[in-house]
Amino acid sequence: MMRGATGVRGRGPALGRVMPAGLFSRELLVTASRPRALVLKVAIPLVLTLPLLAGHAPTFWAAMLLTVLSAVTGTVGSAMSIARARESGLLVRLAITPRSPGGSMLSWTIASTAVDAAQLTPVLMSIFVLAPVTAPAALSLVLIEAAVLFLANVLGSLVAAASGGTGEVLIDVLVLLAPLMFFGGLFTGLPREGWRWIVGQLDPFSYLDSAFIRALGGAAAFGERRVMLAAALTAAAGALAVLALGRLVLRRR
Amino acid sequence: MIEAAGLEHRFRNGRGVGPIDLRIAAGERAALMGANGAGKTTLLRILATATRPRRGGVLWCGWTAPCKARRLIGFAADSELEDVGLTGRQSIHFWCRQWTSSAQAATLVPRILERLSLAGVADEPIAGYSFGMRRRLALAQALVHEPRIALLDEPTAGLDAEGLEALQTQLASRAQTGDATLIASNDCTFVARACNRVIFLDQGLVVADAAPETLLASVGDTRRIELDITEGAHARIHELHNISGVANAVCASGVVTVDLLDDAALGAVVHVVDSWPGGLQALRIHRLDLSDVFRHLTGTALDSTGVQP
Repeated sequence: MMRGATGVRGRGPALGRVMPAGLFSRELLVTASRPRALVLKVAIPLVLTLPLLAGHAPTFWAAMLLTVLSAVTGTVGSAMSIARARESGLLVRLAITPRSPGGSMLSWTIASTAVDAAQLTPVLMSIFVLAPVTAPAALSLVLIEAAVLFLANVLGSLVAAASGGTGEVLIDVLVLLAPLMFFGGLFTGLPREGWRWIVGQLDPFSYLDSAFIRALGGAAAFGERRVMLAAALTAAAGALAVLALGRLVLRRR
Repeated sequence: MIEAAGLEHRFRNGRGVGPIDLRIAAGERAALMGANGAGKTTLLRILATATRPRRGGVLWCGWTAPCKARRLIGFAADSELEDVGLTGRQSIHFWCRQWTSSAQAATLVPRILERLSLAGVADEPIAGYSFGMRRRLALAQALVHEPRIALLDEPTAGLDAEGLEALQTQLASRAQTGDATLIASNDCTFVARACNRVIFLDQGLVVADAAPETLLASVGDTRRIELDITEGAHARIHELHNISGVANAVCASGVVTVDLLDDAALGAVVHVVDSWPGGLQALRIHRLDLSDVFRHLTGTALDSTGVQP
């Protein structure tokens, strides 16, 4: 990053002098320029989570809420951001730069995931403080949380590209998330056999839900190693999807 | 620099452009003019590689591949700015870095800020910018990397006199370095002053393509006068047609518009109109401009929707 030489009026001098070189730094700067929104983003998940943890809610319900929170945080943020960028013409302008569309979208998605991760970090920290978490369970939870947030951002971007605009994007996100969360066993638990069992094994949300259950001291469906493998595969699938479909997201009018 | 052959892109409602053959040479400052829906923005988007034409092809400095062409292009859309969380300098720097290295951006960003008179507000958040400042910023974002081909959609919208002057200087400077600029604008005064070529589009087709002076010469040394009269007096407009030197006279909404071939007819026109009930209220005189040439060629006004029933 390059630093400018002149003084800054109307904002923090340090922030105003950081010059964004790519979409990653640009997105982080835009987020940091709205500190009040950032505080609210961090506070809301914490306000929802702390009563669950402090009140010793049943692990199944607590894990379900935390998984839904992660899925919604990842998808809605990126979907709204992409939909607004599409309407303002920003995506078209990005599409006609010499940068590869897949690379641009990957940078954007990683930045958006980083913001979401910052938003949910206090939640994870409070789990680690208030619940009896082992080190492998904590590590697997952090990894699958990061991977699911990344995939959720990818899904949000793709939904925004296919959606009719900011007015419709929230409904479209929910239409996509509802079956994913249902087949991930968030509401009913994972079935032990049949086609729903197979779908559950492929659904990243089921691994995040399982990691939350384990961290909160319940009986998890998947072991830590399997959750970590799922995290790696989820991140890889998300990266491949965004690289392959980035052009569609940028070029969709 | 740009060569488009058989370019066509029509939407389901029939609007769009083409077929069009177009060549923009190095150093040219060309303007696309046409009514709303004539295809100006669609053509600019195709040339900017944002829209793939249904038929025909484009050569950008000899390149046919859009990914190669994008290295050469700067595009300013007529949409709003999204970078409201950044300062002007940060926003321009971000766009500059999409084409250039950090070291080049360090030189280019202050240069464009200076040229478009944005240096004084460069470190303020864009959220506090006026509409005119945002339009200058959009131009700065498109021109900061000094592209060989600049495509600017409605670049004069929202600009004040100083902004127009800066833009005109920028266009002239680009022409001197052999860079081509194509703008879409119906600002007749700016186009006549800043561009050396005008392309009239009507319903997606090129109806005229010449230097502004040539187009203006096609309507001769005609002057247009507008006379404000009392409502109802226009029933006697036929009296103006009998005056020698009057090419045309029409009346709408209490304003009589008269095209004069001979300045000597002005006195007679004023005398006749003043004799009508209510008399002459006000008088304005101007030379015909590019919008009049457009109307003469197409039968429609530049500020109309351009959609035929």
